Amino acid sequence: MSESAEAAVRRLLAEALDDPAVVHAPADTPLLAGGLELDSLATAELVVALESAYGVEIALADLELASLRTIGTLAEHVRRADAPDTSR
Amino acid sequence: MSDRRAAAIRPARLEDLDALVAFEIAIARASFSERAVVDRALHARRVAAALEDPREGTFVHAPAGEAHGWVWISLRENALTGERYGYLRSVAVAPEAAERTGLAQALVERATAFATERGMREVVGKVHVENVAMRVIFRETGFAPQHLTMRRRLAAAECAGA
Repeated sequence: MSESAEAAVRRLLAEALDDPAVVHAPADTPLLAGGLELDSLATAELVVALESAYGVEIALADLELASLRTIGTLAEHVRRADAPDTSR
Repeated sequence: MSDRRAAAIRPARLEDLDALVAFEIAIARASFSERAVVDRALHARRVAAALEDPREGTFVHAPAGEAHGWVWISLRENALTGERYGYLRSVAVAPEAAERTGLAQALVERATAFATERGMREVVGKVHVENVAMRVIFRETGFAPQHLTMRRRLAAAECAGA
């Protein structure tokens, strides 16, 4: 991934919401209720965009969709998925 | 949920049937893709029967008369434990619906209230793992994953009679 995970997440969010200001929103901003107010379809489209553009797995890897809580949690999920596997 | 939106959610009626069948077919396609049952007559019979059944909660969001949102919940009983629960069968919002954001959640809350008012202490629902939009709605309304359905695709040689 040439840009950072957080930059990628912020860029896709700005596109989804048509709001460039999202690029500067705090990392703990909720994606859904009480934050960016993404609706379920927009959230699903964001997941598909991240999965296809960056090869990260969200739908199958995160059964509780906990990564979709905030900008920061989603960026962290993408960052971990993109990091080289050093566990063995 | 806005009071205005809640007020526009009402019990489904027979006059909504065409819209409800379209919702059911869209849900079947989202859930089963190429194996979806898209027989309009079959869906019409199932939904029409539910509209008459007091154990079925069927609600629409229809701010201007036409149904733009749909939710269907069934009251069921576990045959072994006797425990009663609500089974959330259908949730759908039309692409052209006004005030889309939060509408599906409002419909789920209405269905949940139907179950609660009838003594249920639990509501369950199924969703395809790739249906992230519905999974988001479940998450936003307090549902958590409980069971996993496991599937192994069998090669033709493994199937009896192949």
